This record gives sequence, C-alpha cells and structure tokens, in this order.
Amino acid sequence: MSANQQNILEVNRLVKEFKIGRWRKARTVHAVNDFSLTLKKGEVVALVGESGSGKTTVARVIARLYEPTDGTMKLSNENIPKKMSRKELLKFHRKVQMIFQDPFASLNPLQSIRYILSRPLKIHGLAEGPAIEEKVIQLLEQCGLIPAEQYLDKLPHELSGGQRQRVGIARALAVGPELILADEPTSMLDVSIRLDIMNLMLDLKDEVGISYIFITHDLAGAHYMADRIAIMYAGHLVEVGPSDAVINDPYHPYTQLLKEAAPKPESGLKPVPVDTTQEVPDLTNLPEGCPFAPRCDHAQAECLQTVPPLLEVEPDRWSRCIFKDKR
Amino acid sequence: MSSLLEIENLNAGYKMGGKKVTAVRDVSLQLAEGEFLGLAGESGCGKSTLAYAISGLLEHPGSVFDGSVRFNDEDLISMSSTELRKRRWRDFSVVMQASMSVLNPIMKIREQFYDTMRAHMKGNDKKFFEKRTREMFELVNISPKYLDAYPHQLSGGMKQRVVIAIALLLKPKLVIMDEPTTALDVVVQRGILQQIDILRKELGFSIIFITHDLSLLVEIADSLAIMYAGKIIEKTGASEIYKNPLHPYTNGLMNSFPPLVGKRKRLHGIAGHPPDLSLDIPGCPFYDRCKKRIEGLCNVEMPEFEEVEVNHHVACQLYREKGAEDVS
Repeated sequence: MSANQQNILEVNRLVKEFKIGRWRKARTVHAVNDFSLTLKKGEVVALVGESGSGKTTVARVIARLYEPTDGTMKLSNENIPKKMSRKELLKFHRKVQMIFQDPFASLNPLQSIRYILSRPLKIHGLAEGPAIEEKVIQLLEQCGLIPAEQYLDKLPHELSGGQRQRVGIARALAVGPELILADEPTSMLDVSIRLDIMNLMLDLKDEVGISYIFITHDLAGAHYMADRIAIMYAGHLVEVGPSDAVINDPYHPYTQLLKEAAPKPESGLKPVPVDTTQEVPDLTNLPEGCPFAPRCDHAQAECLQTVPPLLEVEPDRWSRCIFKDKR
Repeated sequence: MSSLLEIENLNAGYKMGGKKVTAVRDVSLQLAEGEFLGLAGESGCGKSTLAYAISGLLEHPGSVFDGSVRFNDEDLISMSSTELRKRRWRDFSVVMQASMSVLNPIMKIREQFYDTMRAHMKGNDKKFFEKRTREMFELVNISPKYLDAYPHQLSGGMKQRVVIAIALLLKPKLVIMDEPTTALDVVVQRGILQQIDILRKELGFSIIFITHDLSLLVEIADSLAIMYAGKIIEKTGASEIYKNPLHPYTNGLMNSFPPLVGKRKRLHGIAGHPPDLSLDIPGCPFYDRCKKRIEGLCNVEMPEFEEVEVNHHVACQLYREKGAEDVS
C-alpha cells in the first residue's frame, strides 16, 4: 500500500433495487443492500461472491452505469450526486473506468483497435491530430501489445482472448483514470493467460498508481490480486478485511464455506465433505433476517429476525454476523 | 484391472473448404474399469473433440481421420450409427458443457427421464419408469417435487444434476463429462463434484472428466492427462502430477494457479499462444513457448510419449536418454 493513505473512494450505505414485471406481477429485486466500502489510493480491493451476489451491480453503480437507489458516494473526497448530467458523467468517467468480463463482446467487432483506443481520447479531448496515434501506441505498448504498430489496424476478431482483454485494459487506461473497476476480467480467459492479465494489472498499478476494485468469484485470484477482500452474499457485504487474514482465518460462515469449496490442489488431499445442497435465496423475496441463515449451521432464532449489521470484529476486519467469534 | 476403453493412435478433426484442422493428434489412452481420468488443457487443445470422437458424436465437418477406439473390446469407430446409438447411454454416456441447453425446455423433467428409458429399456412399464426416475432423483439429491417442473424452473446447479442423473439412468460403465461444472458457482461446483465422486464409488462406473481447471482435477481424479495442441503430453496419477510435473507445459500450467493460502508472491504464466492446428507441426508443439527447448532437436522431432518414471508418461525430449546424450 502506498504511503499516501488518502481515500480515493468512499461508498456509504449503497442500495440498488430493480423493478421487474408490471401490475400484479411487479416485484423488486434487491440486488445490493447497505453496501459500504472505502478504498485507499493505490489499493486493490477484491469483491468476491457467487453469481447473483450483487458484485457486478455494485461495480456498475459505482461506475454510474446504473443510478443508485439510495446511499452516498465520494470520489477523492468529492460528493458524487445520485443523478448526473451528461457533462458531469463525462468528467466522472475520466476518473473512473471499467474493464468488462467478456473481451469478445466488449469491443466493437467492426472497429479497428486504433479506432477503439482513440475514441476515449477524442471524447474526453485528451489528444488531437497526430498526438492521438502516439498516445494509442503508447497505450498498446503499456499493455504489452508489442510491436504496437502491428495491432493498430487489426479488428478485434483477429486477436486472441488475452490480447483482446489487453485492449480492454488499454481502453480503460486511455483517460488516465484514478479508479478502475474490473468485472471478472480473467474469467473468460484460459488459465495460462489469466495470470498474465493479473500481472499486467498489478504492474500498471505500480507504474501509474491506479486503484482497483477487482471483481471475481475465484477466491485464490482475489488473494493474489488484492490488498483487501470483500465478500458478498445475496446483495449483502458479509465480510471485509485484509486478504491474508480473510483467507487464512475467515470470520463469516459464508466465507468459511467459500474457502472450503475452493479447489485446493496444494493440500494434495481428497475434498472434505461440504454441505452444498442449499442454494442462494431469491433476491425478490429475501428472508427476514440474515440472508445466509437458511444455509448456516450456526443459525439461531435471532438470526432469522433482523439482518445483522457489519460489525468490526478486529481492527480493520468486519463481519456481518451476530457471532463475533470464529467457529 | 482390465482396460475398459482403449484409444490407439487416434487422429480426428475438422475439414472445411480445403482446410484440414487436426484437433486430436495421434492420441493413445487406456482407461481401466472404475477409473476417474481427468483430461486437462486450454481451449482449442482438442479435449472436447476427443470426447466427441470417443462417443461417436463428431458431426460434419468433423470426423475421425484414423486410429481406433475400443470399448469393451468392440471397435466404436467402425460401428454403424444404429449400433452406436444402442450402446450410447446404455454402455457409455456423455454429459456436455452446456447442460442448461441439453434439456428439452417444453418437456417436464419426469418425461425426459421416461423418454430415455422408453428408447433403451423396452418392455418395462410406467411403474418401473417412475420407480427408477425417483431413485435417480434421490441419488443426485434433488427433491421429488421437481419431477413435474420444467427445466427453466430449476437453477443451473439442479439442471446439471438432472443431466448427470439422466446420464447415469441406464447404469453405463463409462461417463464422459465435458466441463460439466464450468458454468456453475464454486460452491455448487463442489457439491456436484462430490456427488459425482460418491456415485462413482457406489455404482462403480469410469469417468473421463474434461476441464481446463487443473486445480479441480488434482483434487478429485485418480489420474490426469494433460493435452496440448491435440496431443497428450503427460499422464500420471493426479497427486503425482501436482507434486512432480515433468513436461515444461504442465509445469507452466501448475504455476498459473495462484495458491489459495500462504504468502502472496508473483507467479508467471506461460507466454505466447498455442500453434495453429491446421498446420503440420513436425516437432514438439510447445516449442515456441518452451523455456527449456533444445534447438535443432525439439523443433524437428516430436518426442515419443514414453514412460519415464513408474506410471508416469511424458512426451518431452528432456526426459529421453537418447535426447540427453545428443545434447551433452
């Protein structure tokens, strides 16, 4: 972590709901509930959860691809309003960028790499004339696409998955952002390529000094990338803490389940039996109390009544469980 | 143990507009009864094509070029499609990656079980079908209340369980699973793997389990084969391959997974990308990416797939006595 402990992002009690259906079938999907997170400058926080846990929604709300339903957000100590004009959004996106999961779908198949990378520069007025191409080449080189000239006129389909994801990263870097939200940037890539992309992101962090929110369902990848890990379950943040601590010594029963379920080849043992028969609750009809209670071995009557708050169980470690002791 | 499945010098692939892509190159494999073989490799390495070739499901423009696949001492390659159809599902079954789209969306789950049994277990009545269907539901741990559900009413994990149940319905001796858990969450994935492992021990069938996720296989499989550019380049026991990977590619793959616990340290993947399978590759297909390559040897001659340690086969010049002599 950098010596500068300034907060780049402060999210406070973020809520995002989606309305689906009409008339009698109208229902509300509680995608994100009471989400608070602080990110220091130059820090990487991994957001880990299963599909439907709300991790992508959080990223999309922070990047303002969705408007939040409730809650406040500060970027570099500046309040970010709930609704923004186009001009404000443009200014905001110079600081906050996103990398998407699917490098096959996130690049326009009809546009050359040159065009894809020069667009953010033009839109944000960061370069003009011949300086654009110079900057594009610099971005490609920075992302390990060397020799850059060879890639300029290629179309996305001419590149491999890993190369495409590098273009996606270069595009996010183009505007010189302070915060990048990476939504499962490696899950569609081959195992031998994944590590390259993660290493590239870590190198860029050290070179340029960006902060990341790295979204993944892979606990080991989160541990590799992040200074801190935040675990989400059914739209709730259930545990936050330093990566090593959360992995080696998890507090929340759900984190413990995730850890048990993750493949652990280094242990060289046959898997321990994990009860995995229960599934994630329906987000349109969340249980009254703790969302994890129906699956939790330790659940008591009080767990079923109200959602527990995120409690500080140790300095800098938070868990959304009424039991402060590890089990 | 006798061999249940014997693949010898199998070449298979696709022919399109004068272009021939050989996705499976000279593959030989044996599978013992009750064995759990993991087959790992990156996308495009030919692992799925191999699965299709074994089960006779390779359709135009794909085909088996040459080689043999013997199952229960019968040659599957030369068998007519009618004969093959009789054996498929009864003697061996296949679980595909996109299990979500394998189930018929407008048929109730119960009907889909009945359908399979009607085709393969003639002469049985509805009562028998119902009993067997319920047994299978219990086996894969799904509540019988879903018997009358349509596929869209089930979660991804449940659908995958249903597909596995149908694959086991006729008590086959071999189940080929092509990335059956890739689309699922870690917790659900773990649940299904455990179920598969329990069922295998109970019913005693063999499994070929195909995935790109090596860490998963190391835990669950008996033996592991690593595929690269259409070839099997290393095969041995699962824990052995984790502790002692011999081929530089296997080694690179093993180092591509950040460990879950322990100190964080920088790891390095494998630079470069696999070769184009429409070309002839005279030497080792990994040559371009290999750090230990021997120029003038590795790019000229493909090493034989040999047993270099007890029950540890590898195709690499580094482990050939002859090769070692040439270098020194």
